Amino acid sequence: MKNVFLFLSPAVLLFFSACKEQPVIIPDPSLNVTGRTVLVEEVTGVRCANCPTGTQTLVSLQQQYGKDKLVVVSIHAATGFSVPYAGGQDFRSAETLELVNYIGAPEGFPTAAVDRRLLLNEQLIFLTPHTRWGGEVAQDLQQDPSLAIALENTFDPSSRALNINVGILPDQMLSGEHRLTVLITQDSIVDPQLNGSTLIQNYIHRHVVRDVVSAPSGDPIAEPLEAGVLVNKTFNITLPQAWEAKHCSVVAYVHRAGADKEVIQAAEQHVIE
Amino acid sequence: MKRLTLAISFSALCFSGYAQNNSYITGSLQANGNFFFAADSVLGTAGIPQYDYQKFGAETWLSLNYSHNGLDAGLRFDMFNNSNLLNPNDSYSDVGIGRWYIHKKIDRFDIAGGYLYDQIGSGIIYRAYEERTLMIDNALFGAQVGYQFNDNWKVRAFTGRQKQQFNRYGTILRGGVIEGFIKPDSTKNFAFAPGAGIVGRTYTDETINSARFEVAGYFKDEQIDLQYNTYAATVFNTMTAGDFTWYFEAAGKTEDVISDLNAPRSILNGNDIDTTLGKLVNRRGYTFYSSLAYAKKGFGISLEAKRTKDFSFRQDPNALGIQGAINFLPPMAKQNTYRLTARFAPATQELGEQALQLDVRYKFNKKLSASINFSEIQFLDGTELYREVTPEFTFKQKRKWQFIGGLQILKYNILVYQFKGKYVDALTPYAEFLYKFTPRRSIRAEAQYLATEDEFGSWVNGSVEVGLAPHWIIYASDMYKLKHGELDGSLTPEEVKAKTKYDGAHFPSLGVVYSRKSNRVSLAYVKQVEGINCAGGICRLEPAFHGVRLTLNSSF
Repeated sequence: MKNVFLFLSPAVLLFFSACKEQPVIIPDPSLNVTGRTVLVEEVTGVRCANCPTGTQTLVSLQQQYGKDKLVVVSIHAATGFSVPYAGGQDFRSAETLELVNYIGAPEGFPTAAVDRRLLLNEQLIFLTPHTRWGGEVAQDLQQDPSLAIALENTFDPSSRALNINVGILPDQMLSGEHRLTVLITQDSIVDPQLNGSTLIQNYIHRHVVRDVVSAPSGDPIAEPLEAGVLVNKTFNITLPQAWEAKHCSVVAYVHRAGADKEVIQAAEQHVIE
Repeated sequence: MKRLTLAISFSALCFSGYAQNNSYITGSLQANGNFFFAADSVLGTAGIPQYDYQKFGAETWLSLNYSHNGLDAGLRFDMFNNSNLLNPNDSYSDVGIGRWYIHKKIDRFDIAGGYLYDQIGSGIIYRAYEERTLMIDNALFGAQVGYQFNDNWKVRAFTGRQKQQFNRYGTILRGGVIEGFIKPDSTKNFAFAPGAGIVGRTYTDETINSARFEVAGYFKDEQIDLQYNTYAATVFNTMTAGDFTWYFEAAGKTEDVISDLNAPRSILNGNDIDTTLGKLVNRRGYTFYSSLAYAKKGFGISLEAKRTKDFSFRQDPNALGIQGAINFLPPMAKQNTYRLTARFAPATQELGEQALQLDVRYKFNKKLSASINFSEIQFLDGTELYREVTPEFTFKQKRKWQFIGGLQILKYNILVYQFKGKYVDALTPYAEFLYKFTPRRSIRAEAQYLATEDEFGSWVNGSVEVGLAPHWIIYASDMYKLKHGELDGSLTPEEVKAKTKYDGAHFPSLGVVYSRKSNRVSLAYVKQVEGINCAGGICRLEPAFHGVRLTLNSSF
């Protein structure tokens, strides 16, 4: 036994000798914020008990960084959790389901893709739990954008026709396939939502994706993306009467295609300013 | 290409030694093939690629092990083709060398390198293991050195990174363990098997960077310190004294950055400050686990107790479920085998849980024996999570027939375990009858009735299995969802629809198993409802399955 302890003592000392930790500096995330606008695509459902917590986290992040810096879209496509309650609206659609499937099958809800970045050692682009979203958003805000997106909406209240003009201005040459996704969200929809074990009848749903105007996997940008050369895209849609135009917004984002689907810039503009 | 070169070199090494004395080559094959039937929106299989368009998925593990004069080496070929094991709602395909290792004993030293499986104590601070049904394979890719002081005392140390499918996590682990055996009096059945271990983990720069930006978003007074390194240590002992066996393990963990989804966090909501749940915390943790067993002819009793606080020990603070676990916390509920008694299984709560389990068995005579199992699991604040009481008896009529009967009384916090509803209260009587026509021909029948008003309501399950030893087993089963009577009037039509969606539905299985020597092939048609799949307290929700399963197990 004596030999055992004689042998082990130096090993244990060695193990603990490097125990003193250097303090990790907590940054101020508002510093070094660039012209980048981060996109968070949240997958949620009216029957998802924990989803209101996820939304609350994103709303808080949006308030912290500003709506011009963080665009949030809530996609109601949580398998088994998005079936509407009696009298409630059906936020699901084939297009939004296709949009989620294009990003990758989520596992567990709420979940969210931050700029569709696939993190190191992750299998899925969608990230759970919500306690990791803030860190990823803050890191993306420090990244230099390689292009700017300008949105211009023209809405005719009588016909409810909406003309969307998207201007894409790269500040460097971008190679590879890039796509543009455009969708319509509606904010502040009052409709039932499960929260924990309580069903809230007049829950206020945020950033609900109503329709994907482009292809759900994005429209390929055929034009070369060269520094300083503006690319314009136009979309037309008629908003259904059930969508309250004053709460509707157009969201547009440019992303890569293929295995890497990373969103490189996003923009949001109200239908009615 | 590197992997392939390594594999070929390794195979050459193995086979070059095959002809020599004291050389052994062993191996095993497990192959699963799943044929998926058409997507079904009621079953919940719509939107899953295997059902929608892929139609077939497969997994294969082929192992080869070589031993020669104290040298052991092994190689495993893994293949996943449109597999639903990694994510039951998605498809995963990859192929490669899933494991290789070399181990050599040199005098008192023991050295090993490659992908290594190991555990310290009962695994509370460290367990590298494989559980294929849940796609857990967290072998340590690293090196291990052991030294044997004498017949009773040995020590080993290791370092490396844990496996993640065909990649490796970035987190660095290192650790060591000493294990001994003390028998004060060789004439008496009284002995100790003590041990102690320690594991250190270093988070990667990416993990810490993500955490510090997350914490930066918290209110100043709620921000936490972060550190790269966390250490977990344990002491354990098995004491054997006559008919008693007592195992005790106490483990502690230094401050660790973990995600607590129930921790309150202040957030801005307009000009107000609201509270939401979920944030990173930096806490110390502990786990105590003990089991005491007494066994005497015809009588056995075991009592287990566990208390866990903040003992999540993972590759990443935000890793959940089956992902990135470094340790393993022993489960505290009965391992049920019948389909309906296993329907509601509790996943281990690593941030806070206190649990007791009592198991008593008594053999009245050669024919009749009885047992009772009691499990109670709570959050640390006393919130009920799981309670199971299962009395059971077995009656054996010589070697001709056997009857088992029992009743499971269950309370299950389905909100915590499956994020829906509140509690499930269920009564499940069950019975099993085995009759042997001849030593080679037998029939086994089992039935369970799960009576509950909660979740989807009551179920019955029946199964018949005909054994034609030594080669054939043929079986058929059906799980049937009993229709509801009058439902609670406060339910909305949509809630009624969700609750009754399986009413009157059958979930049959029909299969055949053929065994020959150490080879086993099974083919089965399976229609299986959604549920929770657990192995050793590690659980995940899985969607329904509808299709044909072909499995092959072989060892040589």
